[in-house]
Amino acid sequence: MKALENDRESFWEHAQRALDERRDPRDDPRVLEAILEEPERLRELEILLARIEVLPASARKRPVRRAAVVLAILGAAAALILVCVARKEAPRARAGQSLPEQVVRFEFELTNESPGHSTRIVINDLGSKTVSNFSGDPLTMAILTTELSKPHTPRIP
Amino acid sequence: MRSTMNPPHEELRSDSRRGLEELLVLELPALRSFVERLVRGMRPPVEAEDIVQETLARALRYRESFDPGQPAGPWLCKLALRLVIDSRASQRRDADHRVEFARAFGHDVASDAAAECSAETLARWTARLSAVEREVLLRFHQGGESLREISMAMGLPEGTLKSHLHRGRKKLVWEDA
Repeated sequence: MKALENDRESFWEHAQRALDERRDPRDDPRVLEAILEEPERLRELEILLARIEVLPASARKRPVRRAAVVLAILGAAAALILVCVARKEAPRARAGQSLPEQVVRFEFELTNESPGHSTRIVINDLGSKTVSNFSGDPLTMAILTTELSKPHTPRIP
Repeated sequence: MRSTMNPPHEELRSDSRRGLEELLVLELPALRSFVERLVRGMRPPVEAEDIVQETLARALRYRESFDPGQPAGPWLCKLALRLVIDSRASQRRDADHRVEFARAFGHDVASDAAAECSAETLARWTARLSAVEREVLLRFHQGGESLREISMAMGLPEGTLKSHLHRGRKKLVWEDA
């Protein structure tokens, strides 16, 4: 029993070493020897390789970087202040007078990408949402979008 | 005098009059049993009998590589193992080509491995991974980062990260156990 456990440990040790060195364990002579001793080990090895392959799709719990969150909050706060100030200072329309531009909609978008994973945080006047996916090159990008009303002249009643 | 308790190959390897064909017939049950254990539960499935037949064909084709002074059983098992590994690699390549072809035409297709996994299955596989194990596995295998790079990014010693990497891999395999 002890010998079997040792064999198993030895098999996994060689398989792990091959993976560490980015070699296919199925080409490692010592791994193959161990499979010849215990054929079911090939299936175990295939399970591991298959699960490693699909791992990104399941890694939903990856935390969003703190810096990205802070940036997103700061951006959203800045946009909110901008909206509030714009609304407060907006002059009332008088007959025959043009109104200045006003912010009627804003959206702050932060994209943080690392190898194999990206997170997009969108905060707008309707709320916020976080979108994560698992592809793309390393990149961090922030976009603030504001929509302004066009100056218009109210009609004379 | 030869002992009747010796396995067939022990008797046969010392009997030069018998040909490889006869040896193969005698080794067939053990070979079949080995291959069945080898391919049991594989997805997509591999036909054990196809592998056995191909192993016998190869044994005859490459009979020069057989050392009559050695038992035939391990030699046949090695041939069978190589055949199964090559056959699996071929299945993976075909699947990858199908996915690439479908994506080239705008179809969003998951790889066979991914398609086999429901969200619940994936969640179950990874539920036992700690945050560090998950991060190291992803960075090493998907991001292609070296342990040194991961160590610098995460602020942990390489040895510690290697332990997490190995433990994470084990958890992925033995999650079903």
